[in-house]
Amino acid sequence: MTPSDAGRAAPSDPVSAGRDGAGRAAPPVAIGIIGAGRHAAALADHQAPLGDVRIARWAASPGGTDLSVIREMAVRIEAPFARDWEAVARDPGIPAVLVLSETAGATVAAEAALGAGKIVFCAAPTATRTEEVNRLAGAAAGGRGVLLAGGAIRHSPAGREALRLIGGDELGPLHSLFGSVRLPMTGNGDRSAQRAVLEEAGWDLLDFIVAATPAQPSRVHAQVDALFGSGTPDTAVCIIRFENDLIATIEIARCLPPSVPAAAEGEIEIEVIGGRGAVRLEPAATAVGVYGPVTALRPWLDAPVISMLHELAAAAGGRTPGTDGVVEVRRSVALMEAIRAAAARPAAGPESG
Amino acid sequence: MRNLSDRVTLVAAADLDRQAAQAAAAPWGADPYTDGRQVVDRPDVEVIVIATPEAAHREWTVAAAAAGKHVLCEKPMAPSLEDADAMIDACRRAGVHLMIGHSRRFTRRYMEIRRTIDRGEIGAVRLIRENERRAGARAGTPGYYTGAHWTGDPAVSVGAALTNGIHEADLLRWFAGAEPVAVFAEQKITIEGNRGVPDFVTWTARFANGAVGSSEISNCLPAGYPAFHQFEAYGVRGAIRARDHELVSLTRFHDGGADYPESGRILLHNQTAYDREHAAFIDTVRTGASLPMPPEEARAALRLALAAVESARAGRVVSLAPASAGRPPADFAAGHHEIRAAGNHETNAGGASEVRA
Repeated sequence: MTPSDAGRAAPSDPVSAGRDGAGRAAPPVAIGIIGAGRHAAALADHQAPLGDVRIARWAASPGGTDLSVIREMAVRIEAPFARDWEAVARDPGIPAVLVLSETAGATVAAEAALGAGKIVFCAAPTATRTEEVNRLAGAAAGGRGVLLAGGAIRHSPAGREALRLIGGDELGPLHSLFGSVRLPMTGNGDRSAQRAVLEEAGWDLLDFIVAATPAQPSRVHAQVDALFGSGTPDTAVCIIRFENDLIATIEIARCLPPSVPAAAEGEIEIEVIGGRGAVRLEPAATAVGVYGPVTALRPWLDAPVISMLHELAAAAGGRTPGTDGVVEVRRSVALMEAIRAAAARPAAGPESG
Repeated sequence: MRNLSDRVTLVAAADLDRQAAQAAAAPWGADPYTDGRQVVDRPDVEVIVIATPEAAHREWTVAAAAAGKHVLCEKPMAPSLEDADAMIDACRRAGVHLMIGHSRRFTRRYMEIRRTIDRGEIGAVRLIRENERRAGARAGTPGYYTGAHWTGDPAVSVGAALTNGIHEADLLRWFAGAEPVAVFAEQKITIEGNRGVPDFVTWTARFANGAVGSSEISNCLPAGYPAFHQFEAYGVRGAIRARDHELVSLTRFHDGGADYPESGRILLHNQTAYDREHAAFIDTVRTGASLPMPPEEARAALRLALAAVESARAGRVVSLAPASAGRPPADFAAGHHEIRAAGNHETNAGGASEVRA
C-alpha cells in the first residue's frame, strides 16, 4: 500500500502502520486518531517504536479544518488517512480512539466514539461546558465506552513525575500551587490569538490542578483583562482556595514580547509546595531553547501524545484506568465555569471620594 | 552600618536582650542598654535606627522625634495606617527626617528595573509579578513564624503580608506607577507550631492606570528549597525579568539536605542595598537632600499590604479610594477608614454548588 492509498483502506483493514512492536507477545492495539491539535507534529516526529500501539487510521476533525495537516501527518507515520472522522469513531475494528481535535470538534468526536463503545482518550479540553460533559457521560453510559482524559502537562514526563510525588504524599499536605502560562504577545499568528487567553491556554493547567488535588474549590477569584492591546482578554489572574486549604494561584497572559525566546505555545511554569517538600516544573529546565526565529522545541510538552497513546493501549488491553475521565473532565469544567463566573462579576471599582 | 564608619558612629544600642545589645554595641565601642529610652535621651545621638517589630515602631518613632532625633525605621512601617500617620505627623512636627527601610528600593536590580521602565524601554507596564521564596527554619535558628521567633507572635506580628509582603507591595506600586484601586488576597498558615500568624499570602491588585500586579510569598518552605525572588514585568513593548532561581550560584549539600548560602547575600544584594539605603539617609540628614524613600511612599505600600490582609480575612475584594500615583495623598487624616470592603468579585462558599462535580 502506498500512502496515497491509505485513505481508502477498509475500516478494519489490518494494515501495519509501522513502528508496531515487533517481537512483543501481544499484538499492538489498533488505535484510531481523530484530529491534529497541537500534538500532531510531535507524533509525526516521534522516531521510536510505539510498541503496544498501531495507528490504524487517522482522520480529520469534525468540520475538516485540519484535513490537509492530517493527510501530511498520516503520510509521515505511514498510517492510513481517513477523511471521515465518524468512520474512525465507529469502526468496529478499532477498539480505541485518540481525539486530538480542537475544542468543539473534540467533544463531538469523543461523544460519537464513546457511543460506539470505544475506549477514548480525549486530550484537554475534552469539553468546555457542563452540558457537554453530560453528553459525554450519557454517551459513555449508553455505549459502554470508557473515557480517558487529560492535558499535555499532566501527561508530560515532568508532569507525571510531579503528580506521582504529590499523589504519593512525598510532599506532605499541599499548601500552595502556582502555575503560570506566558504566551507570545502577538499570539501564534493564527486564530488562537483571537480567543480569550483563559479558554485558549487555561485548560491544561486546570487539568493538572484537578489531578493534583481531589478537593473542590471553596472560593474562586478571577480577573480577566485585555492589557496588551490585542482587543481580546489576554491576561487572567486567578486565586483559588480549595476545601482542603490548598491555595492555587494561576496567571495566564499573552504578554511575551517578540524578543523573549519562547515556544509558540509559550512558557509553562508550575510550583507545588507541600509541608515536607516541593516540586517545580520550570520552562528553562525542560525546554530546548532555540534563540532565533525557529520555534523552540518543547520535549516535555511534545511527549504527552505518546503517553496518551500508551495509556489508551493499556486500557484497551484490559488494564483498569487509574482515573474516570468523565469525572476528571467534569471537575475541570466545573473549575473553569467557576472562574468564568468570578471573572464575569463586576470588578470592584475605586471608591468615590 | 559598618561600611559607613567614616560617616557615622554607633554610640548606643538597646535591646531587651542584654546580650543582643552588647553584640550590637561591642564592634563600635558603643554603650549597650536594655531600655531604648536611654538611647533616645542621649544628647549626642542624632539618628535613631528602629529595628523592633512593627508593633513598636510608632512608640519609638514618636519618642525619637519628640527628642529631636532623625529616624530610620525598619519596614514594615507599622501594623496600621493610624500608626503610620502618627509617625509621619510626629516627625513632621518635630522637623526631623523619617525614612522606612525599604531596602529593595536600593537594590541594584530593582533600581535598574525602575530606570528601564522610566526610559520607556518596555512601554507602559501592564502586568507585574514578584514571588518570594525562603526555606523555613534551619537547625539551630528560630524560623520565621515559629513560636521561637517574634514573627510568630500574633500579639506583635500581622504575618507574611506585612513582614515580607510589604516589599512586594512597595515594588508593585513603584513599577506600576500608580496606586492600587482593588486587591484580592488569600493567606494561610503552613507550618506546625504556628500560633496563628499567616505565613503564606498570595494577592493580586489592580492599579488606577489599569496595570495588574500580583505576588505570592512563602517563607516557610521545606528544607532545601532555594531562596529566590521571581520578578517579571511586562509592558506593551517589552519585558523585564529577574528570576533568581535560574541563577543559584552555590548549592551546599549536607545531612539536613541542601541549602543555598549565597542566595540571600549575592542574588539579592542585601548588603549593598543596606549600605546604599543608610548612606542615602545620612546624606539627607547631613545635607538636607530630599529623602529617596519618603515615608508617604512607605505608607502607601502599607496601605496596599493591609488591604490584602483585609481581603484575605474577609474573603472578598477590597477596593481602595484612588490616590495620586507615586505621591502621598493630600490628606493623611483619611487614614485606615479609606479601606472598605467592596462588592464581591468572586464566588464564595454560598455559590459552591456551581463548582462541585
